[in-house]
Amino acid sequence: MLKDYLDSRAVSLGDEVKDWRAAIETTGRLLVDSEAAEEKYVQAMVRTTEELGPYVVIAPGVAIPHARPEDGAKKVALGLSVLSEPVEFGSKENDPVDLVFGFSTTDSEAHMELIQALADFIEKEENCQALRDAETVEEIMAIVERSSVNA
Amino acid sequence: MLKVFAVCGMGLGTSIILKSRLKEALNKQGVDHSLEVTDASAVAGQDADLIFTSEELGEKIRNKKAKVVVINNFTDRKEIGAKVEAAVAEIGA
Repeated sequence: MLKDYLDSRAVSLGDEVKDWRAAIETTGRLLVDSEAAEEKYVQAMVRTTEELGPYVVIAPGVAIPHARPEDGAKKVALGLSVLSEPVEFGSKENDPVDLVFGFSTTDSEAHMELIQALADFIEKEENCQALRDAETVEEIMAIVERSSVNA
Repeated sequence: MLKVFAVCGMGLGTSIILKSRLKEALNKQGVDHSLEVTDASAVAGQDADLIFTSEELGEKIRNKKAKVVVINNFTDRKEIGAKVEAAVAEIGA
């Protein structure tokens, strides 16, 4: 379930960023602060997104940046930064982005449950809207918890 | 058997979602198929019937035989199901 992978320390909202790089750094920082990844993972996420391009933007307004397990991932985990103003990632169909779900995984299989649960969560537009409307981290945790129950 | 490819970046994020959504749609529609994930350069030399990918990667795909289908929302079962159905009908599999 999605809630099993989201530490409340890895959630922030109202984040003001100037561009997609800063958006990813903010999300990567959450993974480091919640002990899911090492410091170097943050810049690896930025580099990986440079390589992959806007392909990390998987749905309208939603990006799922990540790096490789060997870039300093310590566990399978999710982080979420809700931006105060959306930024462009260069995706023709899905820009601009204001929900940035960063994740880490320890190998190419370990995060299967996380990624499937995340896709099902994002697929429901009302979940994304609820995150955008949330005013506290507690509210966000409750939205994710509720979705896990209904999944 | 329909040879289907999902063309992706690194294979950790979007590609996993796309592969599972495609598999679900193809099975639901009873399409006899094989499904592989690969990257934009590797797919050029593949014997493929259908290639699913993103708008940006779609521009990089050079495969003369296959029909390339662009997915916008990788989480959306409705979009992916409809595009699978249309593509399968079009190539007459």
